[in-house]
Parts: sequence; structure tokens; C-alpha cells
Amino acid sequence: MMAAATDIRGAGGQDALVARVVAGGDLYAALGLYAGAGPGARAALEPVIFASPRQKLITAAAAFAPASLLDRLAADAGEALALRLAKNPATPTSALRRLLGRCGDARMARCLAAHDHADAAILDELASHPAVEVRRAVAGNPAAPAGVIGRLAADDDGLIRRAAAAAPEADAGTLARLWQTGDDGVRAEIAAHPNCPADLLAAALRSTDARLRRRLASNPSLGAAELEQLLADPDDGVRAAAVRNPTVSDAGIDTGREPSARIRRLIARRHQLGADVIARLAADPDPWVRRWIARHPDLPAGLLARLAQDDDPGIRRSVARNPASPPDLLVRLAQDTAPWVQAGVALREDAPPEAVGALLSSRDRDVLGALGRNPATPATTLKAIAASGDADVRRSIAFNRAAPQAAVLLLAADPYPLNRAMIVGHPLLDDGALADLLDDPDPQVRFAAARRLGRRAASFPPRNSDGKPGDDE
Amino acid sequence: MKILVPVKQIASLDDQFEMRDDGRDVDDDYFEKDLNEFDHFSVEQALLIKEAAGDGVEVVVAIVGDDDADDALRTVLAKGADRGIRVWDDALAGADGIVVAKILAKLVEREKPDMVFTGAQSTDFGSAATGMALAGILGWPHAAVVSHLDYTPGAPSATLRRELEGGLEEVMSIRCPAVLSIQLGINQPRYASLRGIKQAKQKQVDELSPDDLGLGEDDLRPASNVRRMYVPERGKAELITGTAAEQAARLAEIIKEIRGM
Amino acid sequence: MSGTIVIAMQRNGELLTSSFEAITAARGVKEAGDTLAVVIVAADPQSLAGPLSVGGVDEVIAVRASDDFQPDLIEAVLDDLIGQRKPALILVPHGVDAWSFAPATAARNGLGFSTDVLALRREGGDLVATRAGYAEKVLMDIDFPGKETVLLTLRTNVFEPAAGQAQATVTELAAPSADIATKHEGWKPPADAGGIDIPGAEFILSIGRGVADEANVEQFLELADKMGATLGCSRPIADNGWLPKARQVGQSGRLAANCRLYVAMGVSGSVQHQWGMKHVENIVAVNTDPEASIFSIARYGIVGDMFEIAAELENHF
Ligand SMILES: Cc1cc2nc3c(=O)[nH]c(=O)nc-3n(C[C@@H](O)[C@H](O)[C@H](O)COP(=O)(O)OP(=O)(O)OC[C@H]3O[C@@H](n4cnc5c(N)ncnc54)[C@H](O)[C@@H]3O)c2cc1C
Ligand SMILES: Cc1cc2nc3c(=O)[nH]c(=O)nc-3n(C[C@H](O)[C@H](O)[C@H](O)COP(=O)(O)OP(=O)(O)OC[C@H]3O[C@@H](n4cnc5c(N)ncnc54)[C@H](O)[C@@H]3O)c2cc1C
Repeated sequence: MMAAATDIRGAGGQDALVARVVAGGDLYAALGLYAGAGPGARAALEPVIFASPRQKLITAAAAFAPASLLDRLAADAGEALALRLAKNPATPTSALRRLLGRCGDARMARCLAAHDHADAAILDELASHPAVEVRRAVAGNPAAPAGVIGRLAADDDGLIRRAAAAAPEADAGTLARLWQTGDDGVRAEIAAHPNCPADLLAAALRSTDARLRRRLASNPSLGAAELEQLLADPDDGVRAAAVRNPTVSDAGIDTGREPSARIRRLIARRHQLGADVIARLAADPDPWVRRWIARHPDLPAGLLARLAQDDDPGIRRSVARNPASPPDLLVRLAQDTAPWVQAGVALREDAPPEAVGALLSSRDRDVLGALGRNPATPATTLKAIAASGDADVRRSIAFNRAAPQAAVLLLAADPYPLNRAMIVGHPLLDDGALADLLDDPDPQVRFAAARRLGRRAASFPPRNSDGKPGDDE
Repeated sequence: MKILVPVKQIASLDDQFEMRDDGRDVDDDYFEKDLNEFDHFSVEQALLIKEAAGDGVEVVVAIVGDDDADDALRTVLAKGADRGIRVWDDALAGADGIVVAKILAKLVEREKPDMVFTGAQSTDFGSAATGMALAGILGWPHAAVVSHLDYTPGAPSATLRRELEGGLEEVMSIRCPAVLSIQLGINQPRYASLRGIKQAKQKQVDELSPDDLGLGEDDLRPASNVRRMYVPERGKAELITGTAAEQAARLAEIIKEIRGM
Repeated sequence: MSGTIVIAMQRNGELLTSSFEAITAARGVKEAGDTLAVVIVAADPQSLAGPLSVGGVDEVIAVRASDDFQPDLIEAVLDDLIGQRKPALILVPHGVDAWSFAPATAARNGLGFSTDVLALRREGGDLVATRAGYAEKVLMDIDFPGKETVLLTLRTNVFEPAAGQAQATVTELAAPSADIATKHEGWKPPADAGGIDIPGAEFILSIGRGVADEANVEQFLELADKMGATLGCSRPIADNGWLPKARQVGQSGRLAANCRLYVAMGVSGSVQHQWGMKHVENIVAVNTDPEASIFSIARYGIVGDMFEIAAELENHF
């Protein structure tokens, strides 16, 4: 049984794999194989997958189920099955369309209206649904086209009008009409909308309602003059929103006179900042401002070094995570008293060997977990981490593309099911180990192992049968 | 020296399910079966005692359940329990914790264990009843919700902690043999190794019926009867609607209210 | 086969509020002419008899024993009362102490029995109790055909505590002779909360994969700090090394054991995450997906963007 599956790269390897999974009768392995299988193999796998009403229900709700299978299920779905399909994010548009024809109750229609794969035609139909929650879902679906939004904007329901005002496809005409009929909430959404007509932007700018100005300040289509005015707004919340607006240029930001630490924190998070602003923020009395600026990629070496000595370990951690931190600083931070700072260095693929070396003897689980993920960690350490007594530490190996095969195989036999599930995706896991995992007690491991084996089998034409493991994904 | 650990297979439900036609239970197509979470801890506690004592301690696991329940039994055998007992008859379909306790009491007579560990409760019905009902029938010393245990096999007494409301614990000594119901967190349950899983398939599991244990129809009558089962009205969150600013304002209110600020 | 008995519970000589809740529940199903008696076992039961004479209680049965919880003793008291008085109904608060003695008493005396009862009523003369099943996904109405005495434990914080002075008579009973197999040895208070303490935290703000990037994590640490919350996270966040593992909530992380308010942002609510927080009384979920399972266990839900909500929230603290 095992021999047939390990030889997936020979002629007929794929058939043998399918035959094995069909003989085993396991739903999850069958699901794993299905996506990559050809028509013949699919026909063989379907009876395994659809073996019982229970299995159909499981499949219909599974976000990992292949779209074509969900489409099949939608063809003759009963009520419970249909609802699961409508809620499943993997259900394809074609299946949603089938379900639309037979959706009796509003809950089902609402799920369809909110679905990421609902297209313009589906949304157009549901926009006339008698149940208000369905129309609300349509208005809240970012795929709703301008015409549908225009229609919904005339709805009596306040929440629908609000959602329409926030809809990405809402056009200037719709927004102008909504401004006339809507409440403060609707106007606030309009003020934030990129398609908001200029006269309404101007009206919002003059508004005495700070909530309206706050939303306005986040609008990406504001001009420089308007932004400047909002950056000097007396309301903290408005200034905060303006600082966060990606179109604001550094020139408009005056850190020197900004009295609110909260806003200085937001400024420190911005990408484009001038050298003087950065320097001022690095010396800010507020620790959170320093914590943010310590992560800034333009922070010069001198300031990085200074912040690396801050009393607050959170700030030192930020320096350790800053891509601009030079090697010598990383070596120093690797010896920090706080393990969370050390772990920040241990996560870095660019950490110099000396820094990594200083961490190898750590017993802290966060440090070890970070080293385990890091391709720069020496193989012997990775092997030791794969054999750690702490399951969470061992799991880090699964995320390390440079993990030695011995470590990978250890993880494939890990008693902790989650660790086996994670290692299934590792390129160095060979066919034999994967085939063993087809019998794993954990369903998600069986699914993932079958999927990978199926892909490998499909990517190896019969002539290439040397049996060497390859990086197939 | 022997420890008996009764374990339960629980049924969990997804968000959508349907009732059985008689309206007294859920249609079993919707069940996902699993070992009761608490039983990972009770089995672990028995295994820790076995390992600390070297040889000479046998851990026997028992379950009242149909064929499906074999999975739960094999799960704990794979962790290192020595052998299993499964008791079933279709007449047990309506059994509650009291009936299960009567069956377990017969197993205790048969096996003569030195200790019995049950889970403090199950994660599906959560009666928190079976273990202590067993003790009541046997007339054995008993303690519920044990969060710490010092016990040497063969000792005439054990010291334990019971976890009370609000994280307070009571330190208590208890005469042995005893029935203890085990709380989550008392230890770090192990996962079965893949080797253990293979070995579990070979381990001995005795299959018995209530009849074999000398229990008749009258003994299997539950202490309660389900008239109807239904989905509660609530269960959906109260939605906070409005703009982000309005939602956040309401959330801030809720936080302050609950925090008493 | 008539009359109701409520078992009042005390700890260190102080009555638990749930005792008064049980009195309210008893009154609700009392039939005309029935008596309502409350049993209290304590070192100085007379001093507790007064406070228990509330809400229509006819009699307080005061049993002088130790304040220590001894299941064997309460069971002996109950065995005697069941034998002598044949009560139709015995109600006990569903606290950890009741978990020890109620099932034992019910099983030994062949009583009708259920635990963690949420509601109680009469339907055509029959006593019908409601309890939850399948991890609270369903409710069931149960009855007790053919049972002369029914013992029920009652979920706490469901029934209003009884108030209003009553004119109860006090009967003092000597503690029955019982073979006591347990001995109180002391107390251990809950562990001190220091450093990152998910199990001890009362207020947790938790973030999940919705946070999207390591650089975004900081602002939630900041927000938690401002609000006085402990920051928690889902497993992927800890696995990525974005937050220490000590902050992970869930099956392979920590149990939010003492939490009263749990605000989950960008957390889908997988079963494994729920394991660590589902029991929390006040769960608020913030998620862009209205169908996320976290909403099915939340008390309040916000369908929205966690970054917008977080930014707005800052205006309030
Ligand atoms: C009124 C009522 C109606 C019920 N209706 C149904 C129903 O319709 N469908 C249904 O599936 N279940 C039903 N049950 C569940 C019932 O059969 C439980 O299995 C039984 O009551 C045990 O109680 P519990 O699950 O609450 O476990 P608890 O009393 O909470 O105790 C858990 C511990 O007891 C032990 N234990 C419990 N059950 C077993 C077992 N079977 N074998 C071995 N050890 C065990 C284990 O150590 C476990 O850790 C009902 C229960 C009640 C009280
Ligand atoms: C054996 C085992 C043990 C496990 N133990 C744990 C554990 O202890 N703890 C744990 O948490 N997990 C655990 N897991 C993992 C668990 O299965 C899930 O994978 C994990 O909980 C998902 O985390 P998440 O909710 O953060 O991510 P996701 O499931 O990816 O959810 C992210 C959510 O964020 C929402 N979102 C996205 N963007 C935004 C936005 N801008 N604003 C608001 N919402 C947004 C999405 O709608 C989605 O609902 C375990 C798994 C296994 C198999």
C-alpha cells in the first residue's frame, strides 16, 4: 500500500495515488487530491467524498474544499447544505448563482449578498429583495456596481443609505443625492469618499461637526490646501486623521508645536519624514512616540544606537526589528537583558553570525521560536530546536525553508498534530514521509499531505522518474 | 495497583444544524465527535502517576458508548493507557450521567481499582455529575474539580487542591481509594506519538453489555427525560451599527461600563 | 412527597449569594400549601438563620458542624432529610461544592436529577427544567417522570437573589454521624498577576490575523496600554514572532480564566481560539466579516475595520 504511493513519480504514479486514497475511503485525503486531479480521478474520488450526508455537509462548509466540488454540491443542495455553501468563502460565483435561484429565506439571501464572489448580476437581483438585511448586505458588498448603489441610495433604511455612501463604486451623482437626504453619519461617509464632489468637500471643511471633519481628513482626494487646514484643526481627532492621510506631505506636518502625544505618535508612524522631524521624535518624552520612531526605516545609525539604550524594552525591541539597524547594534541587542528584545534579533535573517551565536544558548521560548524560523541559524541549532521539549518552539522549524532535512523529518513525526500539519508544506519533506502522513490521525494533516502528493504527482511526467525529491511548490 | 479512568466521547456542533424529527435531539449527521477535553487531563494524571511509580501501576480506561466511541478509547490508549473496556447496548441510547455511573460502579466492582479519575465535566453537556454520582453509589471518598494532586500509589491518603470559584483553591486531604474529578490545567496533557497510535490498535479492549454486568432494564432508567430540544433565541451578538466613530463611541461606553470607570 | 428544600451554601461562614438565588427559584415553582425549608450547615448556623429568613422561607434547618466543606456530612444530612421528609424538590446552587455532593446524593437515593438548570416551571402540574446542551448551542426542557423527589443544581447569576423578610421558624439539627473522608488543610489564593498575565487579566484586548503586518501590532499594544487592557492574540500572531507566546489565547495558548471583558479584533473565532475565551461573559467582536464565527459567541458585535475602530477608540481614553 505504501510502496504504491511513494512511487508517485513513475508512470501511473498519479493513478496509484488516487487508487490508494479511494481504497482508504478517507474524506480528507480525497478532498486534498481532488483539486489537482483530472476528470477520471475526480470521478473516482467523488463517491468517497459524497459517501454520506454528513460528509457532504462537512465539505460544503470547508473553506479548503475545491471550488469545482462546491459547484457540484450546489446542484442539488438541500436547505442546510445550501446555507453552508452560501457561507463558505470558497464557493465560486457559478455555485452562488445556482443557489440564488432557490433561496427561500432571507438568511441565505443575505449570505449570498455578502459573499466575496457575488458578481454584479447577483447583487443586482438581490438589491430588490424584500428583506432589509439582504439589501443592507448588498450595499455593504464592495463589488456592488454604481447602478445598484444608485438605486439603493433611495432606500428608506438609514443603514443602507450609510453603506451606499461608503460603497467604493458610489458615483458623484449618488453621493450628491445622498448628501441631501442623509443624516450626519451618511454625510461623514460622503466626506471620506474619494468620489466626493468638490462642493461637498468644501461644505464638509466648513462644518462645525468635528466627526464630519474627521472623516473628511481621511479622504485621499483632498488637495494640499485643504489638508493644511485640517492639520491645524483645533480638534485632536481631526488632526490625527489628517496625519494618517497617506497624501499628506511631510512639509505640512509641524511636530515642533504639536501638543498632543497621540498625534506625535501617529506622525512617528509615517513613512516619509524629514531628518529633523525624525531627530525630534527620537528624543520625544513620550515612550510610545520613541517606540514608533525606533521602527522608522530612515532612522540614522546614531539615533538607532541611542534608542537601543532606552530603558523601555519595547523601544529596544523596535530597534531590533528596524531593518536599518547595523550589524554591530544587532550584536549588542542580542545580549539585551530582555528576551523579547533578543527574540527580535533572532527573527532577523540579516543578523550577523556573531549575534546569532550569542543567542544559541538561550532557553527562552520566544528566542528559540524566532531562531527556529530563521534560515541564518546553524543547522545543528535547528536540529536541536526540532527536538525541543516545547511544541511551540519545535513548530518554528516548519516556517524555515533552510531547515535541514533531519529536522524536517523530526517534525513530520511530531506528536503535536499542529506541527505535523505545518510541516506538510515544507519543500524538503520527501514523498515517503508525505505518504506516511496520508494515514495521520489528524484530518487536516491527511488533507494537506494528499494535496501535496497530488501536486507532485501531476508535476512529474512519467519520463522523469528518478525519485529525487524536488521543490514543487 | 490500578487506576480506572472513565472517558467520554463528546459531540460538538457547527453553527448550522437541524433537529431530529422527534424534536428531542440534534440530527446526528451534524455531530463532530471527539474525546472530552477534560479526559486528556485525567488520563495524563494517571499516566504521570504510573510513570513516577516505575512499573506496577496499570491504567485502565473505560467508556460507555457505541462503536463510534472506540475512537475516543483508542486516543487515550495511544497516549499510554494499558487496556480499555467499552460498555454498550442500544438500550443505553438515552443514558444520562446517573446511568453511566451505575455502569461504572459495576466496572469498579470488577476491576477493583485503587483510584478512579473522571473529568470534572464534559464539554458538550457539562453535567459535572458522572464522577461524583459514581462515588455516591460506591460510597467512596470523593472530591470534585481537582486542580492539583499529590498521591503515591498505595498510600492511604492523598493531598489535593480543589479549584473553587474565582481562582481560589482549597487544600484538602482525602482518604483513598477515592473518586476524583479532574480539572483542566492540572497538568500538560501529552499528545500520542505516531508509534503510540499504531500500538494502540493492538491493545486489549473488552466489550461488555450492561447485561454482562448484571444490570437490568430498571437500572438503566435515566434520572430525567428530555421533552424537547431547541435552539435558543439569543446566541447572536447585539450588533453595534453606525459609522466607525459611532461604533467606537458605543464600544468605549461598554468598556467603561463593564470596567466600572 | 411535598415541600421544597433549598441547600444554602457558605464559605468560611459567609453565605454565598447563590443561596438566595435558589430561594427565588424555589418560590417560583412552589405549589399552594407547600413548605419551603432552607438547610444551612455551618459552625454557627444560628447566626446565618436570620439572613436566610427571606423571600417566603418557612423554615431554616440549622445544622451545627464545621465551616469546612465536607461532602460526606452534607450527604448524610440530605440522606436523613430525604428519608424523613420526602421532599418533592431539592434545589442547590450549581457551585463547585455542589458538584461534589449533589450527584452523589441523587445517585444513591435514586432521585430525579439534573444540573446547571437555567429555568424552572410547572407545565400542567409537572416540574419542567431547562438546561443547555452541546456547549450551549441548544436548550432542552426536561422532566422527571415517576420520580418522587427531584434534586436540581441551579446555574448561578440567573435567578434574582431573594429579598424581603420572612418569618421562618428555625429548627436546629445535630450533625448526623457520618464517615468523613476529607479534611480541610488550608487555602491557596489565586496566583499574583505580574508581567504578561493572560489567565489573570480581567480585561483583554485580543488581536488576530486581521492585524496583517508586524508593524501594525505596536498600535494595539499602545491602545491596550491606554485602555488598561492586557493585549492577547491568536496563534498565528505568536507563531510569527510578532508577540510573545505568553500572549496567545486558546487551546495551545492560555486560558483567559479571570477575564470579564474580551475585545477581539480581527480574530475569526476558530474553535481553538474560543477554547481560551468563549466562557467570558462580555465578548466584543470587531471583524470585517459579518459571518465570522466569533460573532456567534460575542455579546456585542461590530462589523467593521479594526484599524478604524482602534483609531476612533483612542479618542475616548
Ligand atoms: C437530561 C439529559 C439529556 C441528555 N440527552 C442526551 C441526548 O439526547 N443525546 C446525547 O448524546 N447525550 C445526551 N445526554 C448526555 C448524556 O448521555 C451524558 O453522556 C451523560 O449524562 C454524562 O454526563 P456529561 O456528559 O454531562 O458528563 P459529566 O457528568 O459532565 O462528566 C464528565 C466525565 O464523566 C465521565 N463520563 C461521562 N460520560 C461517560 C461515558 N459515557 N463513559 C465513560 N465515562 C463517562 C468522564 O470521565 C467525563 O470526563 C443527556 C444528558 C442529560 C443530563
Ligand atoms: C491543534 C491546534 C491548536 C491551535 N491552538 C490555537 C490557539 O491556542 N489559539 C489560537 O488563536 N489559534 C489556535 N489554533 C489556530 C486556529 O485554528 C486558527 O488558525 C487561528 O485561531 C486563526 O487566527 P485568526 O483568527 O487570527 O486568523 P484568521 O482565521 O485568518 O482570521 C482573521 C480574521 O480577521 C478578519 N479581518 C481581516 N482584516 C480585518 C480588519 N481590517 N478589521 C477587522 N477584521 C479583519 C477576517 O475577517 C478574519 O475573520 C490552533 C490550531 C490547531 C490545529
